[in-house]
Amino acid sequence: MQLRNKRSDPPGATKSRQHKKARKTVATKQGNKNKQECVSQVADILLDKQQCEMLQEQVKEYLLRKLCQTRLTSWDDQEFSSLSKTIESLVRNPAPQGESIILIGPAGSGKKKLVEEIVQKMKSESQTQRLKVIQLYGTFHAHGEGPMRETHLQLKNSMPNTEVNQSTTEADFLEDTANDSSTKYIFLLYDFEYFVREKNQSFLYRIFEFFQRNKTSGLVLATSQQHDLVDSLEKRIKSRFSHRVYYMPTFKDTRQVQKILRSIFSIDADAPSSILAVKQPFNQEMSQLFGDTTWNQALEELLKSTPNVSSFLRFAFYTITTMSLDKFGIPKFDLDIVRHGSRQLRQSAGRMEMLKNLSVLEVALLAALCRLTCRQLEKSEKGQSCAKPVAFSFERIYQEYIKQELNSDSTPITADSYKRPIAWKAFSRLLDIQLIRFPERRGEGRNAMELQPVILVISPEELSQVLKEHPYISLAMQRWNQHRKE
Amino acid sequence: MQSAGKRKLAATTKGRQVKDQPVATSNTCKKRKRRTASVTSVDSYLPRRIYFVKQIQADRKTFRVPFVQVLQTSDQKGLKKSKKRNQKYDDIETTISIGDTVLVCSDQEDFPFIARIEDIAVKPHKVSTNKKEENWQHGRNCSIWLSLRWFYQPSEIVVPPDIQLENDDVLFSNHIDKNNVECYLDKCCVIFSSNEKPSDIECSVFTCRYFYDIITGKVRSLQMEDRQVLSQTDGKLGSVRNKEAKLLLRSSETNVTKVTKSVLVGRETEMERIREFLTQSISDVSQGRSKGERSLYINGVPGTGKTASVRHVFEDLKGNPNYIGKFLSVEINGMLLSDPQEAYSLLYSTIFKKHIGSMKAAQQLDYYFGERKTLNRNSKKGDGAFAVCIIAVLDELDVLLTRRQKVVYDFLEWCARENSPLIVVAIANTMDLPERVLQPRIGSRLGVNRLSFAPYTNAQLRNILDTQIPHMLPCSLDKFEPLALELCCKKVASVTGDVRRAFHVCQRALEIADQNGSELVGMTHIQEAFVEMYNRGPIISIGQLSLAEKAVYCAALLCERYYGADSIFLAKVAKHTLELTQRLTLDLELDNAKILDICYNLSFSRHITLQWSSVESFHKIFCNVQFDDFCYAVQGTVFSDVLNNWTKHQL
Repeated sequence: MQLRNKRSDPPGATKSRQHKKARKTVATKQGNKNKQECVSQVADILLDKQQCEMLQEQVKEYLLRKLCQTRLTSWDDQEFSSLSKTIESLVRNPAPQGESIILIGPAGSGKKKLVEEIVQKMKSESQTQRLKVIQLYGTFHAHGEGPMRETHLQLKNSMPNTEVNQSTTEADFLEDTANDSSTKYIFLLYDFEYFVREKNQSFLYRIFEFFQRNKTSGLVLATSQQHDLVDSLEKRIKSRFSHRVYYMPTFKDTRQVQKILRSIFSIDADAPSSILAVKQPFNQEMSQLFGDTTWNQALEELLKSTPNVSSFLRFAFYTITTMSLDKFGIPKFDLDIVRHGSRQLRQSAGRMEMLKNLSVLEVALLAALCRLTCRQLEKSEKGQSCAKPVAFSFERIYQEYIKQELNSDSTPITADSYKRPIAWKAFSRLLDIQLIRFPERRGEGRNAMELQPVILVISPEELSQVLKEHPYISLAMQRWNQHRKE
Repeated sequence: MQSAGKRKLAATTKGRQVKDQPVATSNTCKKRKRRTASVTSVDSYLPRRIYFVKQIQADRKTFRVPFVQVLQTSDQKGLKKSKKRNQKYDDIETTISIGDTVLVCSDQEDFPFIARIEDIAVKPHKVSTNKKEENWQHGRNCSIWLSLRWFYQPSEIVVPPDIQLENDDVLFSNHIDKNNVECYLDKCCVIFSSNEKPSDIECSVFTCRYFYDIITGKVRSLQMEDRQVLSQTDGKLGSVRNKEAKLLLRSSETNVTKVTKSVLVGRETEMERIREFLTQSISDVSQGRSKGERSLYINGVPGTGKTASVRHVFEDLKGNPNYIGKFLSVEINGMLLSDPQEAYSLLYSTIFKKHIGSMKAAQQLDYYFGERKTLNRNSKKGDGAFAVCIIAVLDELDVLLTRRQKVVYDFLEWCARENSPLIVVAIANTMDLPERVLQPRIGSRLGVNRLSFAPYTNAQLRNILDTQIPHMLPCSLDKFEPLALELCCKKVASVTGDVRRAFHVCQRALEIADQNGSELVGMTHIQEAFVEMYNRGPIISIGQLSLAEKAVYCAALLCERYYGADSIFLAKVAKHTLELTQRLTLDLELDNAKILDICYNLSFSRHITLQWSSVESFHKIFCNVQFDDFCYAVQGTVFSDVLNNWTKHQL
């Protein structure tokens, strides 16, 4: 029990309360017996507080570096490695009339990372003269002559002799080098849909025609988000396009993710000597940790919503940053923070936060508009379902608000009914933060601002849900909710 | 330069020409100074290398400036320039053109100089003559001047000891000057890299590996810039509007041969038609027969060998001795031009070997084709014939169309003019382009001669694959089972008849077979390749969606079924998604904001189309994946049950 007590001491003075709590909630649940075993193995490594902190920082740094350098191809994942292998073999021996490959996957599915890894590998293998890589970003370059200009520039920069470049600005490098049959061209087209949207898709035609005519070995490696992109190619380009469409794989199984996490969260033999001391307990603890049910739940949650590479990496990053080490080199994690953090980066809760910070008067005005909208919708649903949002002017909303305040039945939301100018100020702030909006572009000077109709951007459900937690008016809102339901 | 000094002595042997020389040379100097400052500064250091012809053979004493014909002249303040001409004495007829390497006579009979022609200029002896043109058309009172870039021979210079030069080595130099055409002896050939092999050239061959700087007297090996100087044979790269467009454009002249080396099968009749048309037109033009259709319209779906056939015919004609030098061909691909207007400057550069801006080129061309007409009328003779006719291939015609269709109109108009040397071959995909898109006045000029490339049939495809697979794929024909090829051909022929597609399928099948480790490519592999390439798109992409995304999509599809496709709003989808997740007990923790996020993601990947509205819950949603496809993709998951029984639940 003595050991147990020692471990429960706060490992670092800097650790926040949350960490302590989390440690209790998470770490204590995990098999105590196992811990004691490994503690007994390394009982001789007892560190004081300062050393412990240093060690923690070192381990964190090591893990972060490992995370940064991690490669999709090196993951223990069948699909990623097989995909990269097929692409690699194509890059190595492209067909004489050129190849075209499209990688399709939603944002953050690791398309670009995969492409970069492959190109990096190819570059390290072959001579730079033999391999010409042209990187084009759809968002930057796909305008008119932009792609050609950029290609020109990049080819020029890839020439070894800078003097030559300056002296001959007008020369056609693509042509000069094209005569050399051993040169390979790789066009990397990120955001391929922008190139497709170009008029006549002439740049793509030029690339394909260039490959076909000169029998240059080369390939187009494009990435895109649109799954039906090939259909939007023009007929003559489709004909030249060799239909290699690959979809980026996603994680399907928690076990698969666990494996990868385990491979990242482990101290290898090549780690710096200072942290090698804690290697054994750390790795052992880690492997048990990821088998744990709470972690499993977190991972499952991740897989259900966004099973892609970037969210996985984000998850791993948060895990590392919240890690703390104790004296024995046993890591502890704050799973709540990990969850919360990785979720917050998904930027969905922005509007909710905005609603929470509204003033009382603003909330009251919003409530008034909400009530009006609901009433109107109910009315219209009886007859026909209407497709258009209903709009009300400020005048109407203010009247509704006043009515509500003066109504003896219900408790007023605001303490006293505010006058019109003050209400107008609150109203214009609501307009500024775009919680209410004009339905179309305002007709200039046609009407006074007060008479312009506005619409509610958020749904009534959202509003009532948020207002439950509002510090000042939760009581009043509950009543209002009841009123609404009736 | 001791060699130059030697050559000076030879001047005295000249008779008649000596009188003319001083005038002409001073002209040359002036002109050169005007051109570029850099060249003049070089020249001022140097002794002028002007050589007069040492008459070795008796018959050359009566040497005149004999023109057969001058193709085109542009008048520049009394200076005539010509790009190409035939020179004839006795029975020998040679053509000197810019970029040729020639032997130039020196004072030693068996030791000629070597030089490359950079420019050809024609000067009248008397500038003030009224009938200038006539004069030098007949080659009387003028002389031809060549500006020559010299190749030094090892014996002429002091070779540094560390460089080993062989007997047939020459050194490229930056020494350029002007000489009379009469010093021309013969053509020769200089090759610049050892791996380049002189193929069946009868004249003498030299190799060039080093560069000799005339000012410093240093010798170095050839570098990139020298090659660029050499490659500028087609005149100066001047004022073409966007240089980037030329990146891929220029190859059309040089690399046509590469593709068409292989034999073309399956298009024999069509090629015969094209050849017939072209030979007919060429003979028409060369005999001065006016009128007659000189435009051909070729249509066919992509990958049926239209361009390849035309190129092949050109290649044939170029090899045919009857037609050598009788035509110039230019291929104008609409897709490769950044602007349709550039077709003018491309055509201009083919005829005159010079780049100018497109608008100016249009004017010049108009004048050129029009001038012929008036000229012939004035002369009132039947010999308005052209030795050289110009064949313009307008590939991807539909892209060349501007709003007023001026470019295409101009080309066809020039082509239809009396006695114009232009022949137009237009290539496009659509069959009824002349009627449908072109204005009537253009369509009528184009529409008479038509050639339609039908999609390849099964047998044709088989034929092509049999002959081409060894060329195109890294394996022999034996690798494919005959039945597999048959299947591939039939499948492709039944859909598009696109030969490129057939090749792609074969290649994919080959890879699949390699992966499976089987020796031969069988029918199953072809089948698999087809499925992988053309059929699996939406199903795979739905399979890659996450659970939450699938739930939203499922709800959207159900809404579409229930309410009709027109009125699915985000609010409704959100509501139904939440219901669905509850019913299926999916632990998703969705809320409206998250669903909105997912919808945005889905719309980025084009699974749904979002129609924007100013209020988010009123965004309209359209599903882009078919209900059945989705059902197939989610087979075996919780959703398939819901989708199959959607009527029972009634949402």
